[in-house]
Amino acid sequence: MLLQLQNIVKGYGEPNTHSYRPVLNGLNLEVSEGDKISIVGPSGSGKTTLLNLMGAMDTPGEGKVLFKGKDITSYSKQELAGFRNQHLGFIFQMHHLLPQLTLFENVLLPLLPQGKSISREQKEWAEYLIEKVGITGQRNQKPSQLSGGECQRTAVVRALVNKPELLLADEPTGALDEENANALTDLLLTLSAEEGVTLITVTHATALADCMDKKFQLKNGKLVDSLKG
Amino acid sequence: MTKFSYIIKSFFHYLKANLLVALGVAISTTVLTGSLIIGDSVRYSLEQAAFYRLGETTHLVTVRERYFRQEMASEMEKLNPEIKATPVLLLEGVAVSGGGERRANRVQVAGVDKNFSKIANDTLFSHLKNNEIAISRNLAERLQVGQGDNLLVRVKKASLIPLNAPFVSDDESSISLRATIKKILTREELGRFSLKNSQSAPYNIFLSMERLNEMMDFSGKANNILVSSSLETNEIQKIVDQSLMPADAGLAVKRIEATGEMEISTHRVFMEPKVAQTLKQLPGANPVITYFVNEIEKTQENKSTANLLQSHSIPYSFVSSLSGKQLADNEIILNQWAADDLKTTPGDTIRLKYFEIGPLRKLINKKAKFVLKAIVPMSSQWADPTRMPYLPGLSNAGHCREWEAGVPINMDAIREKDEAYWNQWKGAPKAYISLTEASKLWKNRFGIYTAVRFPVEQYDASKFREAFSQEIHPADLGILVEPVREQGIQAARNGTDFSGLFLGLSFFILVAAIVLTALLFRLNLETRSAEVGILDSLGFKTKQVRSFFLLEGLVISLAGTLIGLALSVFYTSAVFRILNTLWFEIVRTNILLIRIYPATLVAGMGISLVVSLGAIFISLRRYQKQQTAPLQKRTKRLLKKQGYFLLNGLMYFSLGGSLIIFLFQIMVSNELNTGLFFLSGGLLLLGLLLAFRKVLARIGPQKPRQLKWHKLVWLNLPRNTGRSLTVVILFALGTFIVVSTGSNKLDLFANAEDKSSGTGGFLYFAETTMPVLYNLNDEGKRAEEGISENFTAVQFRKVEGDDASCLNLNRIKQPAILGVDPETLSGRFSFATRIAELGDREPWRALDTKFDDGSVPAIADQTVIQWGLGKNVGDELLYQNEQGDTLRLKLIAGTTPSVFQGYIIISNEHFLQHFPGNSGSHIFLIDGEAEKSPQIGDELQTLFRDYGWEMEPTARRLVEFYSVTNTYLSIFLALGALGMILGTVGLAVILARTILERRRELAIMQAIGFKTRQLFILLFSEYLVLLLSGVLIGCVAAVIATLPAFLSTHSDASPETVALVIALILGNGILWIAGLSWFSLRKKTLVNELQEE
Repeated sequence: MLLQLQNIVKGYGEPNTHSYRPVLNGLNLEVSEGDKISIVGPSGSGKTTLLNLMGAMDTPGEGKVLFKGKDITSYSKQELAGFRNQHLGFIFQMHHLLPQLTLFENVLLPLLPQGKSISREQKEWAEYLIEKVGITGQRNQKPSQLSGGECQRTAVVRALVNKPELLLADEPTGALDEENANALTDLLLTLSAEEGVTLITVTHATALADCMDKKFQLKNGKLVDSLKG
Repeated sequence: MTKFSYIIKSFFHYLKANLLVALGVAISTTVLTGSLIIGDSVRYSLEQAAFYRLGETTHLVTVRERYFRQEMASEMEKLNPEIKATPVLLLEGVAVSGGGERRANRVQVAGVDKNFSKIANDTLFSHLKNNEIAISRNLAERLQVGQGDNLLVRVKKASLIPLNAPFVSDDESSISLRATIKKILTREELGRFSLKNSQSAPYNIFLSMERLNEMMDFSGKANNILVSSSLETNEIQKIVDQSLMPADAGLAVKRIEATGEMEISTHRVFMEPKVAQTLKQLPGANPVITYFVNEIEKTQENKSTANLLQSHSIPYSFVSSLSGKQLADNEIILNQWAADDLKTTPGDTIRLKYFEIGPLRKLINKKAKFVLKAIVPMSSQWADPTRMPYLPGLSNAGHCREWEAGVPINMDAIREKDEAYWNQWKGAPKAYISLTEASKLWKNRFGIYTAVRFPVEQYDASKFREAFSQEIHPADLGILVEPVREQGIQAARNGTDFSGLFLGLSFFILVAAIVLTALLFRLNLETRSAEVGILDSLGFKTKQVRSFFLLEGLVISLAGTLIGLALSVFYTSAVFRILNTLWFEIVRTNILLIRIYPATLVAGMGISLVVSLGAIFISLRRYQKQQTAPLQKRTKRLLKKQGYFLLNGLMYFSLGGSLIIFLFQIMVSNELNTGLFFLSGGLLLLGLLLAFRKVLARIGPQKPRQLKWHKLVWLNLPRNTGRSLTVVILFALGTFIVVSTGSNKLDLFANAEDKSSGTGGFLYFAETTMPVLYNLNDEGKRAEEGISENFTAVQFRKVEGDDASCLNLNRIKQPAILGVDPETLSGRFSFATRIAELGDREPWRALDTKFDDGSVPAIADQTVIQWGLGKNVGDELLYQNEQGDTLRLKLIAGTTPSVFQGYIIISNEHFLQHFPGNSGSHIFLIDGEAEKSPQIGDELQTLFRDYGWEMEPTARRLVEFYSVTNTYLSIFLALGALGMILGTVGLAVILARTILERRRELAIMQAIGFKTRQLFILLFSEYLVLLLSGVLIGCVAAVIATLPAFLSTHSDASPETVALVIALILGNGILWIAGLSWFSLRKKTLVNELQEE
């Protein structure tokens, strides 16, 4: 099992006061390697919170997050950072490319935390991915010179450059038009299949959600298999 | 792609924003490095001033009010070839040009010979002949004269005899010389020659030493030896000791043929106790005291008529002493002439009438009764004119009518027979009394014996020299050896710490710049929050992210410090231009030169880098703490209960403490204590800020009432308590500093006639070059001098020392000492500090007391004590008195700002005990009716013109001194105001941040129907409330803190200036608030925000 969420409880505000608002309430999830999962739900249902927990960007109030059987909630902040870098890839609704860097530099950025100089193999891998998503011609351009679709494709390449085992996508097509959204959906599915990456996406977009193997709905702080209703 | 390239790319991508941060760093670097450069430059300037004034001199051999042989210098050179010694006769004078139109008082007149070239490195001084002089450039400018012009120089009369010694004529206090200017001296040519530790350049006149000696009626004398040597001071002291001869003590040996005796006498009329003691020890020594008495009278039991009495007295005679046991203390011997004149026989009662000469030639009539023991013949042994000491006005007189005895002589009382006696026997004593009795009656502050005689057969010249060299050391004669160069350098290095001073003065601007740096950097971070979030999600560790931004911060700081370093040079030159301009008239020179040491730049850069990086680091850390989960919604942090109670407690304590101190001072205390008021104000400031925080905290949890749009202002204030408080604290502190500084500016003209003010209620402060030897309040003397105006004068004796006023930037150890009758100052001036032992006793009245440990009570201006001397009341100052003993002055009190700045005051009694040779008064405080002040001033100026009378209204003198303090305060105010303006930029940054965060909120509000005007008022009002709260809190606290200054008669609590600065602060703040609010509400901006949403 790649990822397990066990009895996750998470809320905001000071517990035991009227200001406390529970978001996730005894949530459980099991993700196997190669799974392609979509999580849908109304606004405020806690989708992003859940994604943050899976991506080790936040910690639950109660419960465990196990990655390959190891409880990552007990990791220190530094260990979590290393964990994110080596095992996870993120794609956000907004591409969040750094404006001061070129497309290629943005892609190479996740290789820096490792503290070593970037190897030739890593560069070739990055170039391969860039070529694959069709933005080679723009590799030396800055984000301000790219279109929205190109930026988002760059963000996908950046998420994959470290060869992650789990790709987490938060509304990846939310900021794109239909044509670009469809293209990005295809790209995500193709690349994750080719590279054997597990994909979890949080989305409102039915088209994207429907393309996944598994589809869950977040309801009352718990995941409900939406195929089962 | 490397970390380095990432940082550099980031730096250039956000260049504009980064340059703004760099500007903050540049300002702090400018102020910080500028302060360090100012400190260095002042030290360098003072050191240079010391080198310019001393030339090659390393040590000084000097003496007060007496003179030694010029040859002492060449003898010192012979004793040790490592010494170059130059004798100088240094006197004071007055120089006049333009037919009396232009004059300079207190001019230093230096008699020099060819040896002076060794010190000056200039041969010019060897060629000064007769009436040729060389003068300093500042004197030439003052008198508007040039090379070849003539100058009238009036030099203070130097005399081998102390001027106020008994029976010394006071008729001639100065000698005039019409001289031709041969050269105007630059500072490189020793134009600034001075032996005092001060950066002020004296007016200098150099002429040949021979000519100056001749003018003073003596030859081969000097009072200073300039030494150039690498030897230690104690080694030079030894050499001076070895060179000292009896002639340097004013002693002369002669053979008295008539009596077959050898006599050692002194040029000073009376021998100093140590010399007298030494000579008395020699085998066969017979000490002699010969005194001038007014009358020798045969007293009669039954005085029937006045005529009878008159016929039995002799006027104006010398009476001498006999040592041994020939006479009991109540017995007297008369010579035959006197006995005949008095028609007296042994057993009769003889009365001597004489003057005891008190301070300022105050004559006290004294009498002493004796029994006539014997009558001696008019033989050479008894009618011995050589017993009369050498007194210029008497010894040289051809007959009695030519006498100038320094005391009133009733010429009508002198009879024909008296003239006949003078013609035949000159000053031969007419009577003899015992040595013991003579010592008792006539011992005075100048000494005891007039001579010591030895039978010729018992006199051994070698024994005399041996005893002299063993017993009499230079210090016993008041001859001191001082390492002047080292002292000068030390005084320069330990002088006012301008680095510290300017760091203090620029404290607020420094803080404002650092806060601004942090705020701007934080603003940058917030605009790049997505970048931080993405780095976080990509697996960059917190430390790594921090290191990226920190390194970027380093690049920014480096850029800022480099700009700052360049600006600091301009800053320093601007400050020096101000100081040099303000002080030029006072210190007579542009003393301050800029000196930049690379080490200082490196230090300034290093400190600035650390400080700015520190600010950036804190800003970054706090930001990261808030961003641990960037996608997580922010939860409001509730203050922990403990902290809440602590802050509340502190608030109540501060407010309560402030109120208690204030009420105590107003209702209970007799005296307004500035320190306590400042504490009260400071506590109030803290209390009010904490109260404001509490108000903000209270607004938060309240349940929303019926909501009106303008209530949003109130509800918005606590949205970010920390940020709102930062604004309020910034403005409260700034306003506090500006208002309190402005209030403390001294208005020294205010209530100048008040006796408790710094003028002491006196009209004028006057200083003379020549001493005034009599009492200006004496009716008889006034009539004699033609003084008609009604005024009183308080006269001060003076021992020269260094100027310890604020005008001297050097660290001073021995300021000039003034001696005064403490009674005359009673009820005058006010005291800032006093030692506890005084209790309620007025410090002036305590000046006459003597402490058990032998120290002497002294009073000085508190500013001098604190800044000039770096001491406190209760501390001691060490001097060497005329007898070579250590004089310890204990500071018993410090006056509030007064005309005494620069001096240490002791009582006349103590003064004369330690400096008996000092004659006359040099300093005067003149009191009289204010309406008559111009007439009094004119009369004194005219009558005492030749004394080098320099007079100014006391209030103006105060203003001159405190111009320095006020200059500092003005700089502080200006820098404070600049800091406040920077603070408003900080406010703008905070505002910009808030607006950045609230873009979408504002856009929505507009979209749902809020008018732009309403939103503008909303934003504007929010920050106006904070701005006004800060200014109000600061103002109220500052007024309380400086209430004594507002109520004081001496302070110029210039409300106009303070109001102007506050108006500027408010105006600037309002402009920023309005501008940014308007900018953020532009339609286009809002539409963009919604589109993004």
